Amino acid sequence: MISFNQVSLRYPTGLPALREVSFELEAGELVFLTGHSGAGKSSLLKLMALIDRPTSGSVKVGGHDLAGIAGKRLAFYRRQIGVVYQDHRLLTDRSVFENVALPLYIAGYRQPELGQRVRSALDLVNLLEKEDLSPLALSGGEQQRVGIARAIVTRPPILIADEPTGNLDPKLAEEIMALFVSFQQVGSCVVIASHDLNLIKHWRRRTLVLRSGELIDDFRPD
Amino acid sequence: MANLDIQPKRTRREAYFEHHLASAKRSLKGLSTAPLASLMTIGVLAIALALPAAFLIAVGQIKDATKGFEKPGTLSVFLRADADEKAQQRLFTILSADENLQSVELKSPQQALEEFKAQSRLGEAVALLKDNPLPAVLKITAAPAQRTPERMSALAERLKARADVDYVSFDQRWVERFAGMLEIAERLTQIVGLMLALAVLLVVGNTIRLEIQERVEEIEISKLLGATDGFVRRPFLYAGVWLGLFGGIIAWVLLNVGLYALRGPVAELARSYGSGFAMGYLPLSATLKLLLVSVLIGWLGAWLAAGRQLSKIKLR
Repeated sequence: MISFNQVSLRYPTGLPALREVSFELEAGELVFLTGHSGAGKSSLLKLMALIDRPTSGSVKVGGHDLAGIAGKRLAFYRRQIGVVYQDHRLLTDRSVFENVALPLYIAGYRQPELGQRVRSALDLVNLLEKEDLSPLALSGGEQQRVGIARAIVTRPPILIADEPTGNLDPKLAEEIMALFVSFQQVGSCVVIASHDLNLIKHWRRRTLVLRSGELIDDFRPD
Repeated sequence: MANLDIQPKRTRREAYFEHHLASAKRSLKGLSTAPLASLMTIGVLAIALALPAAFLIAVGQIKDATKGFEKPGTLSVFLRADADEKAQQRLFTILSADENLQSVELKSPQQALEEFKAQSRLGEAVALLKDNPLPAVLKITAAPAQRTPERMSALAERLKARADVDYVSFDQRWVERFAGMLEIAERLTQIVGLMLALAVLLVVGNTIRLEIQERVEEIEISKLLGATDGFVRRPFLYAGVWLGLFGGIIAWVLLNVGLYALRGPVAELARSYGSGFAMGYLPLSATLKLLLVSVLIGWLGAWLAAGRQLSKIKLR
């Protein structure tokens, strides 16, 4: 599903963010991506979401080399990927419902299917009763869950999450992880960047370990 | 790509038109959320659109009003006061047979007096005169081949040399100069119009630039979620269209108010020159042209600004 081949990335300052990283992820796989701050986790996720382009090497998703994707194809590619951002990236002048509906609206969905899908996603993250509120009226954890609902509302084949449980209490973190697992079980490829080792140990999944931009371990539990 | 489940159930064309409608509504609502700023922008656009339109209308109206002035190839031959009716008829017959002349019309002193009375509204004053002071006039139109300045001058000289002719009026140069001045005025209006159209572009462009700057985060998020450039740009293009349209409508109102204010005095002036000319309001075709140009300029300003500003936004 996702293939990184000798991928390197340099910041505009010239400093390396990733160094010759290679791995392959299959459809229906849930993978943790871990490492210290600055190890290159977010940079790697940005390459998958085509927010950045590699300095060298190739990234392939679903057999397509991402280097050749631009314009409308880039927009349509991004619709295949659900991304949970660490800083939530919610629109504060829109309601929770409107935030979650945005990817569907962009993809051309309209009522009543749009409403059904949004409410279903909000129900999965336990925020159905808050659909009319502004994100500003929610706690950090609730905002995180709105971001998750927005990422899953299109039922994307690829789900990327950057520290998705960082602001959540243990019980909610457990529920959100169960949600990600349910996506994995229906065939989505789920990539979760986290430095929460307890979470990673608890869920025992394949784990890619980055250090200073290098992939130093590809741990696969038995 | 495998396992895709994101294609809309409805056809893309329907969603496309719905987004157009939604963008149009949303950009209109956006203008109403800052009514004072929007009104000021629209006011500036209206004035910038109304000014060249007013000049163009003025030049057009002057052209219409002066259509009846000396036509190319016409001469007025004033006969001597002592030329009696026989002499008048003789000259009329001779000139009517001249191949170089297309038409000859004889106006007797009595006819000339009646015309003068009707046109000048000095009938009462003229009635006080003992004798008719006006001479007989031959209105002559030269054949098309004779209508060069040199040939017309030669014709005038030939007619002047006749015994019964007192004076030949051949004021073609004045008409030509006047037409030249109108041409210059028209060109100047076009240049001013282009400059003001550029000003409208800049005003719309700046308004859209500010709006984009206010909505950078929304644009970024929309692009990260898979919005195409067209999807992101559409509401701003509609904002430009609305600004242009409202600017055009207010310009139309200003122009018609101006025409209404000038209508009376212009008709009065025309009457004093014996013309029945009256200024009309902006006709439907000109109204449609004004609105179309306004909308196009608004759209173009928005398109240029949106293209430039959106390309500057880098996703994080």
